[in-house]
Amino acid sequence: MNVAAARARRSGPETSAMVLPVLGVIILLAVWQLIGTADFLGRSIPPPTDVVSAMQDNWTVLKRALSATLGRALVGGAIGYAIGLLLALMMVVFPASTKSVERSGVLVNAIPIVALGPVLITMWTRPYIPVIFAAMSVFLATMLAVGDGLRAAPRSSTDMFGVFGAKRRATVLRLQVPTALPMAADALKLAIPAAILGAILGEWFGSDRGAGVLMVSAMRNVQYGLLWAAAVLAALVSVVFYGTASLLERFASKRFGRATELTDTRVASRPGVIGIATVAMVVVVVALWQLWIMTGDVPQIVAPKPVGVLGAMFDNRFDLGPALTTTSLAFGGVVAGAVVGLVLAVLVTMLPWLRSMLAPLALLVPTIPIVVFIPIMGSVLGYGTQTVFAACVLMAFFPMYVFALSGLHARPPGSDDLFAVYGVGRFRTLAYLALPSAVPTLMVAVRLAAASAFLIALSAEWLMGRGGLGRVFSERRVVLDTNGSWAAVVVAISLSVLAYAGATKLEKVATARWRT
Amino acid sequence: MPSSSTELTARSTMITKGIEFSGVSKSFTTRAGSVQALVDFDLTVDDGEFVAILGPSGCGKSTALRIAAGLEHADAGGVRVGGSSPEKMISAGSLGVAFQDNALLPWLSVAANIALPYRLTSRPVDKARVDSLIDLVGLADFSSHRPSQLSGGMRQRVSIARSLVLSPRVLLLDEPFGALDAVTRHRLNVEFAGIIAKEASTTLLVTHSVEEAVFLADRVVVMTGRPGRVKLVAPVAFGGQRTKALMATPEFVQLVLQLTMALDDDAGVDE
Repeated sequence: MNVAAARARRSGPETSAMVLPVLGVIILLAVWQLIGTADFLGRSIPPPTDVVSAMQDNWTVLKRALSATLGRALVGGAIGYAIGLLLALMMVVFPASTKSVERSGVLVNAIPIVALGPVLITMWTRPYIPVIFAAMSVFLATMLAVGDGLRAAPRSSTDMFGVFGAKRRATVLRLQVPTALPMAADALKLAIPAAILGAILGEWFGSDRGAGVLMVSAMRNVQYGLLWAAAVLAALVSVVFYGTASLLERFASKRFGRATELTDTRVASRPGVIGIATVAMVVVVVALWQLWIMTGDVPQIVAPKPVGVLGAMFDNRFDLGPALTTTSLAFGGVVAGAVVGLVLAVLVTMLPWLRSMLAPLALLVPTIPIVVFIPIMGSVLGYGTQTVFAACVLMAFFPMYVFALSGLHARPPGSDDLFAVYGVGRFRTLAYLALPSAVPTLMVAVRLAAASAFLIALSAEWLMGRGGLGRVFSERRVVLDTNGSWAAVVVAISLSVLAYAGATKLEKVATARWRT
Repeated sequence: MPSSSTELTARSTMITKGIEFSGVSKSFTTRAGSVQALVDFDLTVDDGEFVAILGPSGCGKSTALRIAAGLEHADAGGVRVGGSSPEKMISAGSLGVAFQDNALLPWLSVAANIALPYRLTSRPVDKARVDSLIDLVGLADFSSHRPSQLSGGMRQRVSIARSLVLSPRVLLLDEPFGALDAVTRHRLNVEFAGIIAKEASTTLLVTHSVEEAVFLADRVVVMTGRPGRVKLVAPVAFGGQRTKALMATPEFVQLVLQLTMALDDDAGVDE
């Protein structure tokens, strides 16, 4: 019997397995209703009943906003997905290009997309920002997953095709593409929340309608019911599309067999080479930029010269303060989120009933674009750095929890029996076996969190108008200081890439030490 | 020295300090329905004796070993280990195990992996004992290496050393050399025979390899395919000292052939 069927069976209609998750959802809704009606945490948390009535009252507005966002997410997501597929195919057709394509992809992905917002706003790209962000949020994961899939054909099959003298085209079409289909469906599944996230982020950079705009205006006009209604509906749309893609993925896995699991550990290695690639790419980008300004006669207000931006970075109006603020918010948020996630994962490992109760949450959260929570957090916690911090914590918490949970169970084969034969108790097993086993997986989570920490910190800062670099973007833009806003962009991108490289290095060290 | 009990009838009928399975039955529920792994399984391993269980895959031999280790519980019948229950043996730290999966912890050095049972049972680490075992399994130059830096054969030696470190009353081995290539396996068998001669304890070995069973054991038990029952018990009368030369003797070859034939009767039942 295959894995999918076994999984279906496990989640089958066994009452005991169903009760706790349902109970978990009911408790969550009840607590929310209680907090909402009793105003424990202020007016900004409306009870679920109010959210539902806000949905009914504002149905037309919500429908128009969501369909705009969904349209952008789908167009952008499709473009990003197509680019990812093409790049993956290119890597297979020209294997020599694999390393450089992958490295540049990882590098581009380490750039927080919002940092490009202030740049894209000044150019013809302005109306397409949501689409561009959606595409950028999708392409890398697609490229890596499909690339893996295309290379995942078993060695014996490749050899068999070789022995029969199959042409390259036949090998690609009849072996590699079918092998890659489950992974391509998997990537499609992951692309959906990512594209919606990109579209909403993009809408914050001056779009006139869409769910992102609606959320921000509801936040500023203290329409909490509408704000939550928009966030809940955006999350629901994401869940529905994710669910559809999951069915597709399950079908593809069943029909074509699954050769590999989706991993993102593979591209983690070789930070040194990534460093060199970074420098090379920066040089090329700066040269093209200078050339564009010189030949195109671009007005200063649209795009400044590299020299001007460099000047602004060292100018007395620009100090290290904002960069430090953003870095400490992002870093602190990742650390706090990681600790909370790890502690919860350990608790859940020790208390299986808690795990069952949290299961629906663990299933839903990855399907929801996390940025929909930022305006809500702003309205609950206040428009300041505390919200920026909380957003980073939330962002880091979830991957940490999920990865820690699987890491705590990724023990060396046979070690559980060994510990049982020595009569080892739970706590000692945790200390000697589960926690050390989880280290490599935890490092993957830290790396992923490091990449998105700056993205979330900058988005929240931009939206709140508080904090570090994100606030600087918006302030400089208002006073038409293009040099200044681009300088902030350059600093943000550099910090983000550095953080990613640091986390990658950390992961490599930990993996070498802890993995078999 | 393991007592080389050469005849079935010579075994005592009083409660043994070794391992005693009496009427053990065990079934597993799988998707395909219920599978009888063991039915009315009887076997006695005397104190200090080395018994090897041979059988087709899925005959329940590993299940028997796991029941003795306290990792599974019998549906019916009883098992006594070291004169008491597996649970008592576990809490006394008197069991040693080695499996096909070496179960080494990748983040610990060879020495720390071998010393692990001390830490797991909250005992002070006997450094001299750990060092002498590292010497015994020939890894003196590798004590600070990590498992990932070792070959498969070396990892199994570490696993064997770890199973012996607490001087267990009862040693349970499930295909400890199963993942190795034939040449390495052969060499480790010879080494292991020497180690066993020094570290005498009651030993139950589960294996696929007839040569391995005959070379190491005082008695070889052949099991039938599903459900698992004892089919044949063959005493191995080669005495305590097992060396490489033994494998070339006609008696050895004859016994291996005889047991291989006995196993082969079952082929076709299995799978």
